[in-house]
Parts: sequence; structure tokens; C-alpha cells
Amino acid sequence: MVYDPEKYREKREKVLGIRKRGVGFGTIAMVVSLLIIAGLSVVTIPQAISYMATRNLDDAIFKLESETKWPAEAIAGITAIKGVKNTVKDEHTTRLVVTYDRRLVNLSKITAKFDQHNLNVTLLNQVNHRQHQNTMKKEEEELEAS
Amino acid sequence: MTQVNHLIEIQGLKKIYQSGGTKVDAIKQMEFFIDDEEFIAIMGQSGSGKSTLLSIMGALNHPTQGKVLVDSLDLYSLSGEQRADFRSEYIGFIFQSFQLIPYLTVLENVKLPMAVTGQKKKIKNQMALEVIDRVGLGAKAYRLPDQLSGGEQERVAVARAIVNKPPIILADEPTGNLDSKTAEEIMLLLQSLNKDGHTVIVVTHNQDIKAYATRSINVQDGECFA
Repeated sequence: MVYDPEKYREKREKVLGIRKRGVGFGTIAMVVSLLIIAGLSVVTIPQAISYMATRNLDDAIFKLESETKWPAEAIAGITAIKGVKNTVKDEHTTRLVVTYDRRLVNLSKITAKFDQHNLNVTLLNQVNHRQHQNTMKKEEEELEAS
Repeated sequence: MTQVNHLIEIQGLKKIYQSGGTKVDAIKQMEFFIDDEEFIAIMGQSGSGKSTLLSIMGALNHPTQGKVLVDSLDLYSLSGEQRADFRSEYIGFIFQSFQLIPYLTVLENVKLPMAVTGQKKKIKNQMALEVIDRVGLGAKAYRLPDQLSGGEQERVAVARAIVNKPPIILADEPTGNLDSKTAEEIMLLLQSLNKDGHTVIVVTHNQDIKAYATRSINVQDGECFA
């Protein structure tokens, strides 16, 4: 029979590597690697972003001694200070947590604001913001467990 | 890719074996072609170079000089991996001594060449059972080679050679270990495979084999004569 080059084209292309047989090991290895990298990224990237965003933040915890409720204008004044990121009253209405960037503002500037409003305030604690968050989370979990 | 006019083209082939200081010209000079779906008997006495020629055509043995073109593929300019793919895609080998694995069943022996094809187990089993049936051993698929006669073992070797549906079957003295009746059965089987579209190339010293072939090539002292 006369040789017809088209008859074995598929086999020829497989030998020459033009036509691949199934999914190659390289492709599988690449897909698995990408999945691992993506999985690790999902876990580590938000943690890294969170770390970068909070590494310079501290929490100052104040207790109001002179009154039973924080005056709204005093809190607004503290929030307005450049470098103060947040003010949160906890479940005890006389306690106030001020989150601030230690590079931009120091504690004396915040306490000066309380003096301006003639408030008798005690500084209960000053901790790293992330450390404070972790402590609160632990306490919540312990409460739930008990 | 080289432009060719035949399925197999042997061009200026030369093979020298060197053992210590001794050189043996196994193939001095060969030039011939084989067309698609031919049944070729390569005839020659022992030591004439016919088995060397078969191994070179099967991409198993580098020639010292010359080219082997199969389906326009220059076999010895391909990489080792491509040559392995070539053997898997194009060639079915049948050896004189059967070369069956004694501790594997007929079915497992036949499935061996399919190990690298990436097909599913179920399809492999189905294809292997089909060819075992084709060579007349359907009832003995789960027997071990030593539970079979010589002729049956040769049939298993034939089934193993055709299971990947190769276009070319290379047989080295396929009837060498068989009695004349069994040899005839094997040659008729090879003839029917040729009629089904396989190109069959049989290397033999047995002149009776010529009768089954569509053409013969005589090999003598490392040279060929059509």
C-alpha cells in the first residue's frame, strides 16, 4: 500500500511532542504548587497586612472617677486628636479604651484633653493594641467556655 | 521532518560492533524501503546481520552510520524520550524466546506495554482481553506462562505486541522455537494481522516463511539484496 503521511499524523505528533498524551506530570506539579501558594497566601497575606497596619498602635485604658458617664464632647475631643484611631467604651460605662498611633501622639496629649473637661480620670493600663485585642479575645473564649 | 515516499526507508545504513580491538561489520551497507501494510520476510543465515537490522529498525540500537526513517521520523535524530515514545506508538516486538514474565498471568503480560499509555485500568483490561481473544487464548487469560504450550506462549507474545495497536510489528525468528504445525499457526496469525493493516517484518533463516510474506529481503554478510 502506498505510504500516506496523514494516516499516522496523530502518532507522529505524539512522538514529536506536538500532541500531549493526557495531563503531564509538570502540569500537575504546577497546579499543586499554585494551590499551595494560593492557600498560604490566603492565610499569611491578611495577617501581614494586619500586622503592618497595627504595629505602631497602642491602647490606653482609662477609668472615669469623677462621674458615672463619659461626656460625649470629651470623647469627641479625644477622637479629634491627630493620631487617635479609635475610642471605645467597654461594658463598664466608666471605662474608655483609646487606640492611638504612638508615633503621632503621646499619652500626655490625651490626658490633657480630660483635664480640659475637668474630668478625674485614672490610667488603668497602656498596652500594645494587638496584645490587648488578643487578651480580650482570650477572655471572651474563657467566658464562653465557662 | 524529512520528506519520504515510503513508511520505512533505510538509507546508507552501517553498523560496526567493537569488542576490545576487534571490529565486526554487522551491517556493511544497506539501503531499502518498506511500504505501509507490507509483510516483509528478512531472510538470512545466522550472523548475517538480520537481527541487528531489526533492532536498529525498532529504535533499539544506534547505527554507526546512515538513517532509519519511519513515517518520516529520523529515528536516531530523536531524543531518547522521543524514541521511547516512538517504540510505544509504532512498534510491536515479538521475540524468538517469547520474553514473557513467568510470575505474571497472560492478561498481565499482555497489559505490560500499556503501562505507560496513561489509559484507565478498565480500558486496559478490555483492550488486553480483546487481543488475547484475537490470538485464540480467551479461555487462558488468567494462566501463568508455564501453564501454556510453546505455541500458546508465542501467541501471548503476539498479543502483547499488538495490544497498543502499533502499525509495525517486528518479529525476530518468531517460529524458531516451535514445531512446524505451531509455526504455521503463528505465521497465519501474523498474516491475518497484516491483512488487518499492520506492517509485519519478520526476520528469519527459515525459507518456508517466505511463502507468507508479500516480499522478501535477503541479507548476507551485512548487505541486503531485494
